[in-house]
Amino acid sequence: MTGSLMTDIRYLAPHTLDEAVSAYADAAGAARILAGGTDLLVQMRSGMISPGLILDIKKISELTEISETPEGGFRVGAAVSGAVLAEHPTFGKVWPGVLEALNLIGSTQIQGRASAGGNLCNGSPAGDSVPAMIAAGATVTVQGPGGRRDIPVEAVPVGPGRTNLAPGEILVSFTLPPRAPGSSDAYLRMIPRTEMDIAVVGCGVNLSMKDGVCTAARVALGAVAPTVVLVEDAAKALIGSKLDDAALEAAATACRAACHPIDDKRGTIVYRTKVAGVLLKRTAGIAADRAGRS
Amino acid sequence: MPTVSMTVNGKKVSGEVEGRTLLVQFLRENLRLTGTHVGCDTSQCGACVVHLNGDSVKSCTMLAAQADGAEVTTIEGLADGETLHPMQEAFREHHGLQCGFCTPGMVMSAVDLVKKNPKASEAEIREWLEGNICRCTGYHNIVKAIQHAQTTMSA
Amino acid sequence: MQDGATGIGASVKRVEDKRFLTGKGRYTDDINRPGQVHAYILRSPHAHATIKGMNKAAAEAAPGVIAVFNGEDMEVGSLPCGWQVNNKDGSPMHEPGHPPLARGKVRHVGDQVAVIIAETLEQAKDASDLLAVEYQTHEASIHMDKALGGGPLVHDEIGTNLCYDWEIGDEAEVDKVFAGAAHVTEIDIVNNRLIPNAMEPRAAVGEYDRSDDRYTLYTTSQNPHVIRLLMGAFVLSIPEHKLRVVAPDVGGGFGSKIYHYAEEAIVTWAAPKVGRPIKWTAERSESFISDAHGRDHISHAKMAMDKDGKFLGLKVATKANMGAYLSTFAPCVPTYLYATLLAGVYTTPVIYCNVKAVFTHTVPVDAYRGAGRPEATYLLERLVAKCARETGISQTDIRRKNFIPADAFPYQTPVALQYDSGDYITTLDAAEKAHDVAGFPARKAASEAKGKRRGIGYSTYLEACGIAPSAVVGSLGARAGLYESAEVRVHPTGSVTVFTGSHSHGQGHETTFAQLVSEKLGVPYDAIEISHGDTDKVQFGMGTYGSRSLAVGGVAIDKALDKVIAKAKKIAAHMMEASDEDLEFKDGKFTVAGTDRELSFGEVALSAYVPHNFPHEELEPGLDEKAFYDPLNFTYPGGCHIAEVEVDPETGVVTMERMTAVDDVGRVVNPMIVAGQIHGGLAQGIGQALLEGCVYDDSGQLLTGSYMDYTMPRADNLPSFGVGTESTMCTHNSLGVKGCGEVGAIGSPPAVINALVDALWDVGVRDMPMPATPQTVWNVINSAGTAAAAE
Repeated sequence: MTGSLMTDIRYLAPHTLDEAVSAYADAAGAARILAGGTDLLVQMRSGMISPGLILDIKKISELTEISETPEGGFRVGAAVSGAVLAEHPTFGKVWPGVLEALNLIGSTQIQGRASAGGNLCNGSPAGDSVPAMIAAGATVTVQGPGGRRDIPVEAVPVGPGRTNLAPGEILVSFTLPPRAPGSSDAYLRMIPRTEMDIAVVGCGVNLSMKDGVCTAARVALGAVAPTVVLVEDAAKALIGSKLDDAALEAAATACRAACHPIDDKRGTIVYRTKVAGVLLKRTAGIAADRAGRS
Repeated sequence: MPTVSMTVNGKKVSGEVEGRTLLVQFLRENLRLTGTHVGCDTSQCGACVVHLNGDSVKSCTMLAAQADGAEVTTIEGLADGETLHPMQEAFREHHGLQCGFCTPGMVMSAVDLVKKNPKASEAEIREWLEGNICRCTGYHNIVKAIQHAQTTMSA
Repeated sequence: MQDGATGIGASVKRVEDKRFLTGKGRYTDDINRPGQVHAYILRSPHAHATIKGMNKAAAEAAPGVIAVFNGEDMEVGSLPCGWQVNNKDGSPMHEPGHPPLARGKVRHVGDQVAVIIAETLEQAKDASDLLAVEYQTHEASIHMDKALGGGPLVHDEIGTNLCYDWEIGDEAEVDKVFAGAAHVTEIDIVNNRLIPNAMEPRAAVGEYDRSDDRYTLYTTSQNPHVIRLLMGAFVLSIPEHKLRVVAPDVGGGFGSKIYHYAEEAIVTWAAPKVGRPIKWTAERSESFISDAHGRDHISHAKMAMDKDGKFLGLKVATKANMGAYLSTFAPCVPTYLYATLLAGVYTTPVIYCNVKAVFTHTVPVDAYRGAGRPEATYLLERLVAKCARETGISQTDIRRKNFIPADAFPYQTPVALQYDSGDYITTLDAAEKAHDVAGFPARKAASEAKGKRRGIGYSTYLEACGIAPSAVVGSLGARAGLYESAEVRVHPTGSVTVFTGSHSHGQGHETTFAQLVSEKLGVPYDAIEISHGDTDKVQFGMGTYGSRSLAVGGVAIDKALDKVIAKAKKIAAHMMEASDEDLEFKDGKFTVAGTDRELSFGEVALSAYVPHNFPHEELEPGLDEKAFYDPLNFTYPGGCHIAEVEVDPETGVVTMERMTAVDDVGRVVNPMIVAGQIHGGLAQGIGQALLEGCVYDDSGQLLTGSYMDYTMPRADNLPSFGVGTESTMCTHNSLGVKGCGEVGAIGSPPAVINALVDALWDVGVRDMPMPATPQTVWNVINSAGTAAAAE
């Protein structure tokens, strides 16, 4: 980082995706995408990064739209903020867990800007919206110089701060699948203090209930491993059960087994692992209540 | 350097900024609107909250360039001439400020809360305020002031 | 008190609020001087390193850069320490030098290495990346045990990391009491290091005027005259009459803005060198590694009791972290503001305390809201709670049994202080009632039904504030007096300007002090202005800290008001051709006893400045009086704080359910402002107990260096508070006032932790460290089973 580089930061706010993809590719790694800016601008101020180009994607309509898919699911633009999503008439009723996770990113004024796309592209294992999106079975659409592709959310992060988006690829939108009746989701997290800190454990549960029995489930944990993890064994323990104590305990055990947390000052391994099990039980309970248990 | 234009407190303004210039820097340094404060460098304290197109935002969390064309209201633009906004009056009435440093952001944030959730409970008020740190008041009288403004702002 | 009253006892709305609420406050960073340039301080990334070399060329050549200075360039005096503490053997403490810009070595992460001055802040910052500093790093002494146990020396030249080894009391006498005691309760206490975090980051603007060879420093200070004295006389050799220090609106201090900091000296020193005014403003991440920290004690204490739980003797050993350099007041905090408070509200007849102050490779530690008194209170009230548990006496009975009775004042403690007044049973009773302690069992049962645990904790505390008596503090090592000064200037039309040496940075002096004047002179409240913070306007001042503004600064105003009235009486007597002994002054009117002759204060004021027929040999024109007030004693607020917490045992999450404080703060001038001060103190006390902890790793990197990691209390961490006052009057000042700024932070932490121990007692928890974060609580719960089994 040099003085001359710092002062050469350009700001660009294209109106079309093609324009953005082309500018992003041309900058060859020197560009940073600005969605909410809640992390990017902090990193710039601290001198951690010094991009040559700031690409503001908030003026591209496809990235800021919420629409219903022909199949009955939702497509949410990557730059849609939690605050905007909260105002959608039906999204929060269908995906309350995704919405509450997105609205745990920072305070209200931050939620007005922070987006699920930014949260995912940060590659943080503790990004709040990521476990909820993975539990929801969401996919993302990305567009780059080579065209468009769809991939599951869990395939995006590959390690702390790293994603497997190809150079020049921009995250366009999230697609959430249609819902069977009796389905809902929930997200809970454990933090050393309140909302602003990074989660020590985050747990997303998405499930379907029929006649008091869990017929489908997906469980994802954040902040307990280098990337957010989809815990298939926990889902298996829940499916077919009435979410009784034994099933919940089995799912909690599966969650604890999936934990490979880093031992930083926010939470020790033992604490994170133990709390992951506690959160699974509580989150599953909330999701089941929302789905209408019986 | 690129030029940005916006409407601040009802007046059209424009100025040259660097790509990296934050909205709060533009307000304080270019426009000398020093009522908007900077209390941290990680977008957490909320001393810099202003209204952007009617919504409260942290002016350290966006670039000046992003506010191009927007309507911005700062604490200096909240009162109606010599008549304080009901939220300002409520803070005075209930001793919701001491050193005054967090106050501009706190008041701008509180105005947005009452606009969006006029009947917010004490718990909802406290939850909303998590993005505004005050070191002086223990929040007790800030909460009281906002509860008072819930009645006066709707009147 | 009637509506619209503006005298003593009225909750007058604050004068200062209108400017703060409309964005018209004027804080240091809001000040922009013509031609101003910007300074960026390059700070050490290492806790302990030798500066082998520095190449300034590239930085100096960077765009916009005007100058780059380092410690070799800035040959000035050392940042001084204002308080000398002596060792047990009478020898003075070690007092190493503290250059504003490091010379030779850096001693903590954040130590100032160089200053870059440029046209814009961005240019200065960019250029700092080009400043090549070659460091040879060394192992650091971060924790006190390592520093005292052969760890690397912070200051090679003094040959030890022990700053001083101090004691109070007769150790042999105390040991004798312990040998004969029926029961002894012991406790280990860590008082966690805190970072004050006033919301306004520190800032300074330095300016030099060639035409009159005068310097001006605008700075975020709680005491501009003290800065003028320390910086002028000790660091830069600028005489007072050539140096003006202005502390305009200041956004909170809590102690951290008392001290003279390097940046103030740097911008003042460099201003004539670059020929332009220079502004420096801290970024928050800089504040974390350059503002003085607070607390950081490790102690062992034991209480000797008779068979009935009566306290017979107390013995305490404390290690106190000084950080890398001695900050302005640092040495007095763990000694004269701490050990002298160890009697608390109890009749403990003998007390011994030994304090070892330790240098470490960390940010300097100094007074933070309460300063020494929270540490003493925390130790004592945790110990008393444990005494009750071990003797099977209730938490309130053990306190009542040992309270200094209300009829025992003045009360001489075994640790130097003489308390003038107090009534500890009344504040305890009032707090229990306000808290609804009677309803606690039902609330506890309701919590348990939800799988939660609930506990209640007490703290009956006392503090010494109104930090003053020059004679006392002088005998204890203070290198300055601790009086206050005031000037009351009555203008010809009867309006009044008061110049006070106290400094308001949130306390509302412009309101409270005006109430004193309105009450005494009968002058309309809006005709009174309080001026503070500018050494060119105010004759002198020692500033605001130690809850001293009203008890020292306010009483100084009261004394000046007495002089104004005495002078005005002479004028009125002359005007009414009466003897001044026959005159009465009441409700703003002078009357001649037994007649209907009267004059308003305004008429007398006008006459003072239109003295057409004054007998000038006897009566000077004008009505402008000054006073210095040096109290006879500290003041002694006290009271009872009760905390109630709920714990989620599965996650360790603690919620503050109730917090009640009933305090004796002496006479209350503005109840609204007093309650606000107590609320703020409680929030900081609860913050210390549950959230705030400064963490260094072993290499000396601060792990809690931002609001992401240093957990400031937010609105949703706190309950609404129950606050009340039950006052006894201070007997040695004319206003009867004691002080309220620090009581909340002093009394509350042990109440919160005692409540947590109470909540978890049944699962075997016997101790709880601060801050009691969820993980800490969870760990304590999960290691408690074994501890309980071992009992």
